[in-house]
Amino acid sequence: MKIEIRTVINGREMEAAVKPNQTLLEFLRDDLSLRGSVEGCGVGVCGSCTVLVEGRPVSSCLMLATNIEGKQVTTIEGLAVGDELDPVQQAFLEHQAFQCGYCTPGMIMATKALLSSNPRPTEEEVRDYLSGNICRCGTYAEVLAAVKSLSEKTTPLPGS
Amino acid sequence: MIMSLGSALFEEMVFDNGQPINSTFLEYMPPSMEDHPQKFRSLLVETPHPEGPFGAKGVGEAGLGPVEPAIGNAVANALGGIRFKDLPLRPDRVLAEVRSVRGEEA
Repeated sequence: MKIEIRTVINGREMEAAVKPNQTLLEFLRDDLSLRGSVEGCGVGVCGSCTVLVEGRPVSSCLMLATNIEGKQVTTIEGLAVGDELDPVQQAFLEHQAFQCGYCTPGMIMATKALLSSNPRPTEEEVRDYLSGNICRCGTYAEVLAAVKSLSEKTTPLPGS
Repeated sequence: MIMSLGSALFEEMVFDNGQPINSTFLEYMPPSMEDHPQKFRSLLVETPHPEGPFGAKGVGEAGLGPVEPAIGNAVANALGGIRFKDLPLRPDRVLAEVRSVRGEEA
């Protein structure tokens, strides 16, 4: 049995048929070949599979594909415009905020979500927000430096 | 070094009759960003390694060694010389050792 859904993935409207027990991560990777989001733990703890649904970060290994009906999903593939990297990607690159790179898609999506809700986070807030993204290589110092450089670049929102 | 911090303080495989019972990140906790020390600096001491391809040298886990003894020594120093022979230095393990050395009941 398959369920028809209408959704928007990385700005592209689409209709798809998904299995009732299919996770969003399986839908992205297996059906759409968007293999940037990766499965680390499969139980929503490591953060490697983080994608944005309606701008909010979710662990796509826990969300069912049927739940994105009518919603906008952004994955790591949806950040760069042509050859131009997203500022968060560029900052991670400049600060070498990864070693093996497995956690990086999730880290970058979580950072996007953090900066969209809080453009100038303190180091404490960054640590708290990104504590759900585990990096086995331990590149946290570089990630912190990358996020710090972004928060310094961001001009405060008017009225904030 | 952060990987090593995990094995010094948190990470331990627990088995029950040969079955691992903490096989997900829910029970087996590698360090997160909140465990990362506030002050943290790594120094690279570069030495040549001509045997490697193009002189390349693996460095990923070379830093694993010294962290556990450093933390172990710090804990021993703080506790007046009580030494631990088992890792990780979980709070319950440290407390039990201190009580047993002092002759208190657990």
